Amino acid sequence: MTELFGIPMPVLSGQILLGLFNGAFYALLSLGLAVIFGLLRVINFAHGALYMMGAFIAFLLGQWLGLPFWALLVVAPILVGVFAVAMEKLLLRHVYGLDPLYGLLLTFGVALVIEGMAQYMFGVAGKPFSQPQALSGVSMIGGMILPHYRVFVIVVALITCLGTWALIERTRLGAFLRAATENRPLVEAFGVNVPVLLTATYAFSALLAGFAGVMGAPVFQVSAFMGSNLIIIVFAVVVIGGMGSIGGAIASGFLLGLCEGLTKVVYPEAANIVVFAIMAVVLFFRPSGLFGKAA
Amino acid sequence: MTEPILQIENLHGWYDESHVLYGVTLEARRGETVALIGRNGAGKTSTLRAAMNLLGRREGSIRVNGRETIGMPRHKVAYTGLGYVPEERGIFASLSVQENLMLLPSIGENGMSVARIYEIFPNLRERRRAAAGTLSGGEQQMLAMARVLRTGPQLLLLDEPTEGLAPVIVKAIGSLLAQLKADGMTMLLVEQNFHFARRLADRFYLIENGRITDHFDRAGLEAHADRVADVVGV
Amino acid sequence: MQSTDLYIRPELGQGTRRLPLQALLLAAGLVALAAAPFLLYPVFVMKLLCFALFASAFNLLLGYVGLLSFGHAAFFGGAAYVTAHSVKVWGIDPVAGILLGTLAAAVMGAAMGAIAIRRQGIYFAMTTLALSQMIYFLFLRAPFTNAEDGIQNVPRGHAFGLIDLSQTLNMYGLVVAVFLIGMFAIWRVINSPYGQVLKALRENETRAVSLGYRADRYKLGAFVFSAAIAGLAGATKALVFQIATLTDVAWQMSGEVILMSLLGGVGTLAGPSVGAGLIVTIQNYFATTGFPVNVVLGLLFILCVLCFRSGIVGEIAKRARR
Repeated sequence: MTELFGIPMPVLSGQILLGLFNGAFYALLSLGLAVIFGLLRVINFAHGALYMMGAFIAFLLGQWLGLPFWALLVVAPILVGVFAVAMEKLLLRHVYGLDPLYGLLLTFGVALVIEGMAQYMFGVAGKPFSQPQALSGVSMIGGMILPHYRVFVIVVALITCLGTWALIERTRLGAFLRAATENRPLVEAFGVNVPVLLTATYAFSALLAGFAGVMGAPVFQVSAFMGSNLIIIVFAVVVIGGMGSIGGAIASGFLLGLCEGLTKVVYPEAANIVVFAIMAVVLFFRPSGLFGKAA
Repeated sequence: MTEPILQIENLHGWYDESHVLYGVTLEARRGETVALIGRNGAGKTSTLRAAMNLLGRREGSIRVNGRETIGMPRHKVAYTGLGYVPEERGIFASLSVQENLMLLPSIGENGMSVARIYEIFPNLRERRRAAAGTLSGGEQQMLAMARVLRTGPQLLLLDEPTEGLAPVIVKAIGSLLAQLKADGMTMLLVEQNFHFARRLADRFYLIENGRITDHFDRAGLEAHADRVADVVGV
Repeated sequence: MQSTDLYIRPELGQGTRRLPLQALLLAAGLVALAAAPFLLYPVFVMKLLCFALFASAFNLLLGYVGLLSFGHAAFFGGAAYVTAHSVKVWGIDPVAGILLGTLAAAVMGAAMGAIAIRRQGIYFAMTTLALSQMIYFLFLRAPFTNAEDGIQNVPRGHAFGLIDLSQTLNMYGLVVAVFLIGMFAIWRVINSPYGQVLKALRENETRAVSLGYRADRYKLGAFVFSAAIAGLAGATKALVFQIATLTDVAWQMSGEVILMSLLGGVGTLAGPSVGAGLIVTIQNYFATTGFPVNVVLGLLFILCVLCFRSGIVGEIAKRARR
């Protein structure tokens, strides 16, 4: 058995894979958070709850309608997106002119309500959600153990993140978003329907969160609070990466997942807190974050 | 007589809590260049911002091509035919020059083609992939005008297009505006620089403390020279 | 900064015209405190007072310095653990235990503040949240906390070796004393030269800095003080309920104290106590029903942010001024 730094290859590679797997979720969620904050100037605390919503909707639709995983991957996020449209139009729009802290508090309240309702309806225990048949099983490549589902998630998440990045950085629609992030009223005065842009941006980010939720369901337990602890780590990721850059959010997400995975091998007790510890260190030396602009 | 393209009547405007415009009335007829002259803080920029629904509260009437724009949602105002070149240019720094140029939605049929724009502004074509924030002040001003010309406006609102620019650039902008005027464009030109405005404008409004105090055409330039000197210290 | 209601001027403690009204309210409050244990469940009132102090400590930071800390549970619960452990395992005097807990909170506050102060506004809030989550996990792992079980059966002991705190009224007396001392300390800081500098920093930091004030130092000082008072509240609570658990350091607790402040009125002296009273009552009520209280709290949050930003005391003060 080959070893690297005294750690057997299968163990190391397994943890790296796991790290990237967790990182995929960090990346998807921090991407959404960064996009929402950039344009709407709102820290969407509800992002974890939207993630959970995606998982729960997938669970329910799977139970009631027997939809296959592939269908759930499409339908559940869309439903989360629809909910997000309602949330933006009814609630969020009222805090746009205010201090961003109000947005944080408002979405925190929404998260409490969503999670509380989920707890009320489904209890605290996790619901089982089986992996799709086609993706179960593992492959062995060069001493590395590769569970198919996890590789699938990593690849899909990466493609989604890069696709979103391209959409924002390389298309005219993305140009609207980037310009509005710089100067919202002016873009609106030039004739761009900014209110719709805001709603669509929020809904799209929510869709990404819901999508992550569906992908997470087979691995993590579908439970009312599955999003709430995740969101705090994502906050740390976003503070580390800085919210100015989409690419930075994606890179930070995967990188920090990787760090977490490696820490589990080397010093398992610290795995839970390594992201926070890194955040503390980064803040000390580079307050605006690794990829952020000094703000 | 055909209706003026722009008719502002008794416009009152507020910026947050402060009352900045007190019953401004002015108009611009088709093909004309109208100058709004005043000092810093006189209300020139606020008037233009009011026309684009970028000011806070407004009362009164702003009609473009006969359509009342007060009460219209902000993102619909431009489609009445307005092309806005803001003070400080309003360039989106993180977008490329090309993206800035192509960003604005078309509002009229006779928008300048990109090819023609690059003909008129060759340095914009050279720098089209650069981030717009890296452009010099003069280049940004060119970009601000170019992108608006692409959309096909009937009325150009220009807020201090020469502010802070080198004389050679100012001259180039002057030529550009003169050419546009010769081609029939209607323009509302806001300026502190009276010399610049004087070469282009057909009619002049003087604004002080949010009120229009004088109004005259080219024939009245001599007679009002003292008033102009009062208002902009020329 | 001026466009937000988060940083309202202190309603009480401003201007001599208000003195008779303030004195009256204060007297009424003291009478209420004296009568309370005979009218309501003493443990309920003690819980209320602890949370009122906790919320007031948090509110000092938000309403007067302009910093939203999403991690105050770390100080509240951390002090609770330290006090519980020192009284139960080391057997020290309960008052000493409370002081030790307060000190521990101050130390944590210094550490957390030193890192978090580097950013402003929204980043500050997220940083405090993340750091307090880190502290949560540290407490989860630490052997002395017994993880999910917590530190139970904390003896109340004898205050100063003399007063038997297992007697409810004696314990109540201690809690009232702690509450009054804590509130007085907060009041003193707000109305001191230090407090004036804080106010100046909040309203126009650039100007204050140009006048020579080290903004970071003042903010950190306020943060540590706020953490200490929050710790004081948590330490006392550990003795009241004779237990210290993970719930006390969880981020949900941080969220609750924010709601108490928001509901009662940020930037008012009495607001957080009013908010705390309401929230504790609501929690008590819903504890018996099956309905998750979080939904109610969440709805209250939403309501407060959308239509009720000045909070209860803030609204009253606004109307009183008209």
